[in-house]
Amino acid sequence: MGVKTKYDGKLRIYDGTGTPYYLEVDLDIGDFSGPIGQPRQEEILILNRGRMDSEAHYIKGPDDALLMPVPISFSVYLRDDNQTIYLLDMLKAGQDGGTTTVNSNTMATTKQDSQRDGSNNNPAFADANKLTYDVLYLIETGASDLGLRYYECFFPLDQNMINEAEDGNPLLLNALCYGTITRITSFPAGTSVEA
Amino acid sequence: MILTGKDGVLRIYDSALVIHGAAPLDSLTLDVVRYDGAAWSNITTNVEADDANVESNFIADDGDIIYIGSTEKFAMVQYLKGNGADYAVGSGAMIGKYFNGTDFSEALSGINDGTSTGGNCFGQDGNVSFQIPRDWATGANAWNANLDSDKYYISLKSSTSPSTDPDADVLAPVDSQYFEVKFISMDFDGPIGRPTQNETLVLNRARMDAAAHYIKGPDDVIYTPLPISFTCLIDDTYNHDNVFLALECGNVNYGTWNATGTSTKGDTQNDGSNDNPAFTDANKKTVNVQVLWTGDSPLGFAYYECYFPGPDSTITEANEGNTLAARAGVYGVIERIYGFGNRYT
Repeated sequence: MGVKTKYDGKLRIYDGTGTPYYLEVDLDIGDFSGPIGQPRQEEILILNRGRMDSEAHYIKGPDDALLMPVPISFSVYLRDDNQTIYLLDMLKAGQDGGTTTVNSNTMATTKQDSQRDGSNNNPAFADANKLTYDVLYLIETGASDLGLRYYECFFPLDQNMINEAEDGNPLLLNALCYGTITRITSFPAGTSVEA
Repeated sequence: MILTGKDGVLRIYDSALVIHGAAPLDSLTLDVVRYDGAAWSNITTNVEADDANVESNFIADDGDIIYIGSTEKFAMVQYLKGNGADYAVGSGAMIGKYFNGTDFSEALSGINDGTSTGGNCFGQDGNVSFQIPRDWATGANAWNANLDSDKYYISLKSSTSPSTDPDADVLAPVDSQYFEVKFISMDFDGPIGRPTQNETLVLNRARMDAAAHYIKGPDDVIYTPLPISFTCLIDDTYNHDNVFLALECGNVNYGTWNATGTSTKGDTQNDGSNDNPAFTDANKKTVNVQVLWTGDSPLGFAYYECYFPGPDSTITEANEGNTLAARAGVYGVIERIYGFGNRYT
C-alpha cells in the first residue's frame, strides 16, 4: 500500500477509428489535471414569496450546463524524436479534419461517441474540421489499476503553449472534454500510431 | 532527447525576397543543375540573378529535372522569365521532391506553385513554396556526382512535356531578410496554433434531445491576435538598436538585413483562402518570428504577421544586464517548422 505519485501514471490519447489508434505519451511531465466527473444541470430553488416552507422545491436548470465542456491539462517535453512529431501531428489533425496524418494513419473523431444525458449522443461540432480524441489517464497501482477516461476532448491549438526554458521546453496541453468521464481499470485495445 | 532552450535560435524575418547568394544572404551558396534525361549541366550562372544571363528551354519534356540546392534550407524558390522568351505552355502540374539522405524519392509536402496558370507550371512568374522536410539532408553528391555535398536539394519537373518550353532568368532559392536575436533568455512563450470559431450549442427549450446541435460562431475569432513573447539582453553590438529596428521592421542594417524591411502583413491566410487584411494604419508593420530548437532533428514554430506594439515591449534595467521583454500579437498563420525559411511573402 502506498500513495500513488506521478511516477505511477500513464497517459494515452485515442482516436475514434473502429480499432482506435492511440499515442502513449512517454515523457509527460506528470502534471495531469482533470475533473473526476461531468457537470450536471443546475438546481434552481423555488420558494413561495422568498420564504422557506414545505412547498419549497428545486427545478432542473437548462441542459446546456450538462453539455458544458470541462478543461483537462497535462504537459510534455518537446523532443527531437518521432513521438513528439506524432503528438504534434495528432493535435494538428484535430483542427484540419484529419488531413494531417499521424505516421501515415488518418485520425477519426470521437465526437458523438458518448452521451452526457445518458440517452442521446452528444452533438457533432458544426465545424467538421474539428476532431476530438479520448484522453485516458491510468495510475498503475501494482494491484488493481485505476484511471479515468475523458471522452470527446478537443485540443484548441491556440491554448496549447510552448514555454521555452533552459532545462527543457514543455508543451502545455489544454483540452476541453465534451464527453462523459468514466473510471477505468486498464487501457482499452487499439493500435499504437508508433507501430 | 529533450529539446531545451540552449538548443534554440530565434529569428525575426521581414517579407522581402532575397535570392540565396545575393546580399544580404551572400554567405549562402546556391547550385542549380539540369538533367535532360541523358546529360547533366550546371545552369547556376544563368538562373541565379535577374540579369542578362538566361537559361533557355530548361524543361523540354517531362523527363527533364531541375535540381535546386543551397547551403541553407529554404522554403521557397523564385521563378522569373525575365529576359527569356517563353513561359511554359501545356506543362501540367509541378512535381517536387527532395533529397532525404538516400535519393529523391520523397515528394515535397504543401507545394504552392505560384508559377502555375491554367494548371501548367512555369506558366508565369511566381514563387514555389513548400514545407521544409523533416528528413531533408545534405550529401546528394553520393547519389550523383553532379550535385554538391554541402547543399540541401529539391528537384522540380513538369508532369507533362510542354508544347512550349520555358526559359528562366531566375530559378533559385529565396528567403527574406532576417535578424537573429542574441543573448536571448531562453524563455520564448507562444501557442502552437491558431484558434478556430466557437461552437455555439443550440437546444430545443434548453433540453438535450436528438435535435441538439452546434452552430459555428463568427469568424473574428480566427483573426484574434495571439500573444508571443521572449526576452533578451541589450548590448552595444548585437542587440543594440538593431533588435528594436527588427521588431518594427525597419532597416536593421546588420548582417542578413540590410534594407528597410517589407511588412509581412497580409502574407498568410488564416481561413485558408483569403489573404489576411492589411492594417488601416499603414505605419504599423509586422514581421515573422521563427524559433527553432536544433537537436538531432530540428523542430520549431513559425509565427507569421507578428506586430510588436511599442507600449507592450519593455526594458528593465538591472545590475547584471538590461533586459528587453518583447511581446507581439500574432495575426497570421502559425506553423511547425523543421528548418528556417520564410514560406509566405
